Amino acid sequence: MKKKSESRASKYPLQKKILMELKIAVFIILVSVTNLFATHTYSQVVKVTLDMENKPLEQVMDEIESQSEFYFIFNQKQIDVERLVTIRKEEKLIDEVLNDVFKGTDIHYMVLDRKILLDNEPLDEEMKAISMASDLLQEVIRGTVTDAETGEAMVGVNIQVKGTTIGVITDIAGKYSLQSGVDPNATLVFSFIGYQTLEVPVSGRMIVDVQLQSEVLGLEEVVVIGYGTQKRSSLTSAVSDFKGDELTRSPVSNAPQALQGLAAGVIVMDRGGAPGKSEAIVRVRGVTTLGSGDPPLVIVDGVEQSMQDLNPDDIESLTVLKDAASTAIYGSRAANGVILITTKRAKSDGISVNYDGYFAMQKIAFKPEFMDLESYMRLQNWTHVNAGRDPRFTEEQIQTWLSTDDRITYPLPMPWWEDGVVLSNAPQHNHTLSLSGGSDEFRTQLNINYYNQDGIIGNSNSEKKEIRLNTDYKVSDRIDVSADLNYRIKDWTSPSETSVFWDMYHDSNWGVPKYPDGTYGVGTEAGSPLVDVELGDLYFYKTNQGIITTKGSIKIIEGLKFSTQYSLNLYDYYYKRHRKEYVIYDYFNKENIVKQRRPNRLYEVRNKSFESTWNNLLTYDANFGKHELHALLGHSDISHQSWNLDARRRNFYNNDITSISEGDASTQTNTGGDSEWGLRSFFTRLSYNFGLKYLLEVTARYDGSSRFTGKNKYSFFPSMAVAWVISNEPFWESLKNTVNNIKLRASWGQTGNQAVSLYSYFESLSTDNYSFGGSTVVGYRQSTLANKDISWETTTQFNIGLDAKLWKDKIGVIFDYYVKTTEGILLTIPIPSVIGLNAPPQNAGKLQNKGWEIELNYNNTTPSNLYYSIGLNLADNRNEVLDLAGTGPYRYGSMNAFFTIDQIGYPTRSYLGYETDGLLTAADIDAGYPTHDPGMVEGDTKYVDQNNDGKLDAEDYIVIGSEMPHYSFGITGRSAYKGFDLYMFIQGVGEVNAMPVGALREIGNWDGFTLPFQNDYWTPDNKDAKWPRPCDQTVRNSVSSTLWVLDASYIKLKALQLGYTFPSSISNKLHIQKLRIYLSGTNLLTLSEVVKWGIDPEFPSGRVNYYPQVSMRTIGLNITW
Amino acid sequence: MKNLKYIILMLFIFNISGCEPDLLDTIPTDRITTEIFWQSEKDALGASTAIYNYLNANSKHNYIRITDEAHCHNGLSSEGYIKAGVIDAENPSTILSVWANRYEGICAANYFLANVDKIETDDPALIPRLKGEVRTLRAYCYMDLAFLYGDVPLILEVIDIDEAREVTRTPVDQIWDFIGQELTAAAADLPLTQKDVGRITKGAALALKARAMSYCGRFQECADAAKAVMDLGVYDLYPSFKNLFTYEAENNIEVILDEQFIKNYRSNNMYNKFAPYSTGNPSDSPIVGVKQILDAFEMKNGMRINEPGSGYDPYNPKANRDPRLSYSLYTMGDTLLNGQIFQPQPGSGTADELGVYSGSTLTGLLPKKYQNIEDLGTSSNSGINIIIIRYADILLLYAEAKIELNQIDQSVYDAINKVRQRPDVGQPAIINDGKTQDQMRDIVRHERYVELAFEGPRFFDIRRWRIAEDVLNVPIEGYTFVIDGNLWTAKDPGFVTNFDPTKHYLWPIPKKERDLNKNLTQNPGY
Repeated sequence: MKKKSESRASKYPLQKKILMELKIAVFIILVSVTNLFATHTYSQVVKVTLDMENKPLEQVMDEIESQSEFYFIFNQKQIDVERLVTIRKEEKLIDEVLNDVFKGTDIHYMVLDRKILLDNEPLDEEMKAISMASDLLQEVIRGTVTDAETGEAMVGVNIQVKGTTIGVITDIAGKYSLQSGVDPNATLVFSFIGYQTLEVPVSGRMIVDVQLQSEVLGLEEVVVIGYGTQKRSSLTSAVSDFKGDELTRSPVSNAPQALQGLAAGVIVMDRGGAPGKSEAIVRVRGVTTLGSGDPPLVIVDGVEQSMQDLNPDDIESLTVLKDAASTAIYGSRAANGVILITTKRAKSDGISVNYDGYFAMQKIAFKPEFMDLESYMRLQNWTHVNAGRDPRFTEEQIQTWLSTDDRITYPLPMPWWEDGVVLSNAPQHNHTLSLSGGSDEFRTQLNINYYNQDGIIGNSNSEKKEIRLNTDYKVSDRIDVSADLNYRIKDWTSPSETSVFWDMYHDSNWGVPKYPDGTYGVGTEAGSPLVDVELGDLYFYKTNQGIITTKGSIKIIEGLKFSTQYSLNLYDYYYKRHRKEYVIYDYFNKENIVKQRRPNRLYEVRNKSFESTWNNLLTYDANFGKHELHALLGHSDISHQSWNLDARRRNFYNNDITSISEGDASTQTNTGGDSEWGLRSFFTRLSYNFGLKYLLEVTARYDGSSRFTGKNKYSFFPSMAVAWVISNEPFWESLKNTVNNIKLRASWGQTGNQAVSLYSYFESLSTDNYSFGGSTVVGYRQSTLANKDISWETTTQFNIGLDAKLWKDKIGVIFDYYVKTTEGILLTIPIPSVIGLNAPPQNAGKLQNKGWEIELNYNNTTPSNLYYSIGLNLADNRNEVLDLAGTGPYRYGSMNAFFTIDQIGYPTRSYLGYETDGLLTAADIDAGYPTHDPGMVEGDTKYVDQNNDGKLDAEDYIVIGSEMPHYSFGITGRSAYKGFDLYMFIQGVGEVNAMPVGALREIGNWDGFTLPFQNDYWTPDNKDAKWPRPCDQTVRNSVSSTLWVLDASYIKLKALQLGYTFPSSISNKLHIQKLRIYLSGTNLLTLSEVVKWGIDPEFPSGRVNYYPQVSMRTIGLNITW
Repeated sequence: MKNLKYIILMLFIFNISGCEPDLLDTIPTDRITTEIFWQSEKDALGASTAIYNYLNANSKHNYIRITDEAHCHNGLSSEGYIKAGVIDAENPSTILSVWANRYEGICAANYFLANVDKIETDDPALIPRLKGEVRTLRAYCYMDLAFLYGDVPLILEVIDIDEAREVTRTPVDQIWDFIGQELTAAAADLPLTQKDVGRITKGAALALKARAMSYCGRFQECADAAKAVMDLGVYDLYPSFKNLFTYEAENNIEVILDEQFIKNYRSNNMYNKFAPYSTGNPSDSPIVGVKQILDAFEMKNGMRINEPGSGYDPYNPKANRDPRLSYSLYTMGDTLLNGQIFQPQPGSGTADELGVYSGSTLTGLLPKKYQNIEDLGTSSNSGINIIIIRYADILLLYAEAKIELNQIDQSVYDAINKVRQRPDVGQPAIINDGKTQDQMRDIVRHERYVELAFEGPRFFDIRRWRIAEDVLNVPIEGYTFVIDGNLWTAKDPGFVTNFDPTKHYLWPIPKKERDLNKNLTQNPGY
């Protein structure tokens, strides 16, 4: 029976939804769909004969349906089907029949082709249109979804008609129904988080019951690897891979942030950051060169790119290649690890439209607390008294300051940190609309992204607009062609954040931010962060990036395929720094200038670069019985050129005129330069396995780089890996119930690093001008020694690993241990200054990273349909300088600021300074204990004379800490229950240090920001103090020492998200297939020793004059039509 | 072959990407390869020009903070550390940067001298002249090295890294021998004047020789060289001391050698070094004057202020003083370049009030030389030439050398009196009444102190005279104000000067340099 008489809560929601879909489609793609509304004439042809007396309406309808292809659609609540009807008609058109049947009732009808709509309200044209469209659908399908293992009904399973946007979600009993019918030949796609997606052909059935298998932790997943893909089961190397939706669980500002804490051995230091400038540092298995290291190579769809500006919503998959077996195929650029990203491509037939968006409010995540007023004033008195001067404030002044409310005459020491003065909450929002679909022959995915973020300080904003169009042509069974286009515009404006935050801590004490008449106030050191924000420098930056890729592949014979890819990457940026001029007058005496800056200046940079990548791959895949073979032969050319021009002028008419030619021409200067480099590579990979039991993989890359000359131009990077799947051995059968899969892996390989400046082998002169008698004269001078022997850094990595699945894949374990040794580190090793030239980079030095990683995953669904999963990853990396080629150790920075060293036996850039041993006592002074400077007395810091030579000097500095974290971990928890989903992400690092510089370690000596707990300083009455004797304008107690080495280990609740997916009954009312709403928070809680210092543990050591990390509160929407 | 068209399509993709045969052979366009250099006169001129940057007058000028003329307002500066005696082989960074910078200049000179003969030119005088300039510049760099570090490696050829790791310290006497001979030889090839104003002349080479010989106490050679400069007939005193450091007076008859600058193009920060905070100096570490130099200026009658009957009035300290005081120092009540009055006294409410801003003076005194209205408000963009050696310096060196040689004749008095009696100075002449050598030594040293204040020579003078511990190890004091009828002297008691004569007459050999070359020994005490 075709009659649809089940009760429905709304009228024709599905049809309405489809119409909306079509409207959007029309709107966006501008494709005419008017032909869908073409007139049908069935009702004008077919006739029916009825002869019924006092029969229920239901029987009359049955009779009509049995005589014709007509069927009725109505809502049982609205239509009384029991009403008795009498009708006699012979060979009449349906209109006439219905007219009789419903005459005198409140029932309205409408015939649309074979469909008869009934309603108790007049039916309008829109309904007509809806109904016409729904004619594409024929059958009704229903069924129940259960868990294959437990047999329990599953709630909230998403069911979609493949190739369409029609979809529903199972109800509380695990039941679903596709209410208005589906093509009997359609395929249904069942998906649920944590379960394998199942595709079931309808094959004419009305009832389709399915059982879903819980997700086998990626067992047969295909993993993206270098220049190809591989089944996880045949992997022999250490990789971590993620699907796009795992990366976008919580709203992030950029892709590196999304990767944080997900993969063992991948450390992302999220340095928060100002809008558009976020600096997340990504390190794979430690730093492989001396210094802070280079970022990993990021390959997006086969082309090297930066990860920073990539829209996380565009990511289909992300793979981190960690060991040399997986990275060696990228040869000279792979030493820092490789991250492979693929972007989303259209998969299904038909059109699907998605919207992901959020709106967030940002607030400062870590706000330092200032010492209370009285303590601070008394501290200031001590700084002056200890410097041999009179107290800075009299007791009377202190009492006045404490008791008054007049903060104009008696300003507070650090008023800038109050809400709304400099810092305020700021919005951030992001929207991605995607349209995907097509046919077998032609499919496209269009992603449009808009991102906007305001800064938590004024004049600070970033905006990003991006379009990505990925297009696939299947031109024949053997030939595929794709063409991708990606274009993004990003800009940001900001004041000088380093000045602003410098003044938040330094040089701005005792200032009134703004007087009642709008006059700016400045601190006693003439600093004001508010002036920096509102009157200071304004930076403007705009970047355009366009990446166009075309790719073709042809199957030559079965198993043998050739593909070629050509990509153009155009990148340009435009940067403008406008230094405004201003004069600030004294509020109390308008004659006096308290701060001024002039003239105004403009500095403008234009940079363009162009990079082409050409990859050619020949692949061969074959199976001979139990032997499986995959071979790859490849070639790659990368050519890069860039051009840079910058210009400066001063003396603009006013601060609003900022075009370069408006400045004073006599002040103009400009500089510029061109550069280019090339990379030519040949590579191969051979993978073999026997019955998926014994696996072997060999890769090799031969890389040539324009950065080197002579015999060093080309270098060779091999790797080898073996694996043994023990669980596929017959003897394992008995253990399969507990450990159903276990694989042992081992690999060895070499990778390189060519991060050396261009032309460093080139002996050359550069200009070094002078002036004679009022005119500039060009001078030439060789400034840097050339090193013709310069070559690659080579990193050799050994890795053993174990992959296991326990209890039918419920638990997954991945363990790896590695030793990674970098030799011939390209390093500008100091050379004797008597040579008079800057040192060239040399291949010297040896560094090792050793560590282990473990990833654990557990997921489960309880009988009551509560799904949950926990992912845990933990890694340890130890970095050690092994050799400095007989030179060194090398020190960087200075005792008064940030002082580091590269020394054999310690991690690169370890902190250097004195060891402290409390404070100097009177007895120490009497005994002639050595001091850092002659002015030091009782109460000053007691530095340890390491070599007992009776003096404190450079020989007494020791390694006192390291910024390189040892342990890092991430915990992700996911849970879903009846439409609700919860995501929690905890992340942290262990055994790492931080060191503040500047105000935070001066304890008021330079009139800077001072923390409450620093009140415990030495005075004659407080000799047991934690902190040394304050003394104005001295640094003797704030030089680099163990006193300032902080434990920066932390645990952060990085993200918490609660989502709710509306049941289809509701979302359908809104004409939406799937509607999810979520609330989310980031940086919610941090446990760390440094928090009380107001320091974000992820930030670099230093003067803390950087834009701070923010905590976000987000509301977001995911909609699928 | 229905797929033919697609194969063509793929071949097309293949083709547009193309294969660049020279992909890996990139040639830079932002630098000049040494292979094409050393061919024309232009190359010789260009390579000599670059070395003039090592005159370094601007940064060397900061040493005045390590003297009894000026104080490093901001204790964090390198000079502050040196003055406080906090100096070792590694800190402050000046220890290494000065060493490295001078050898950079020496290397550039060696490189020039090793290659310049490749150039063919029709002008036979050109190459010898340029060599003379470059040799003078090289000797100039060695003068600093020998004075500051004592024994230093004497490197006169281009060396490679391995050689650089092996060089040893040449005894300082040999360095002075070299400097003396080199400057004499260079002077022989140099012209009296240069078409390019600012290039080294015969007079400059000889004047530097006089200075170098004073550094090492070879007074006969010093006197001879100074006399040779005086006999050239090229130089004389500029009539106005007041205007000597103005743009208008650039390249005047008194200037023997200066470092040349042009506003906007090659500028210095002479204005920022001294300018009062209220005149828009954004620098928060100006160089401030100290009480010692203020008190050193004589009374107009030629008497020292502490001499009985000098007429000095501490309540009116500026009255009846040597005019050079007001030409050299900003003191209370002076009119500033912006027309406002300099009021550093406590409670003045101006931006110059003592210690109110970190940029306001701590002593109430600021040097005035090189302060020009043209630079008002254009910070770090002064185009004023910085004088390295001027004729008055040579006259006083001549007098000093003769006194040290005990050849005190009328020419000594004449030289000193010529300086004292510049038209707008007009201090009473020193009378030749049979003064002793000690008396004359005191007179000439005093004259150098006040005449050349804040110009740089004092740093070297107090060290070569071995008086640094006496004049430096005193409390830092400034101007004496009259407050409510009482005298009150500004001071910086938090800063303790520490000059240790057992070691501080030489700087340490930089640790980094010794780490890289085990043959380098260290100076005593470090």
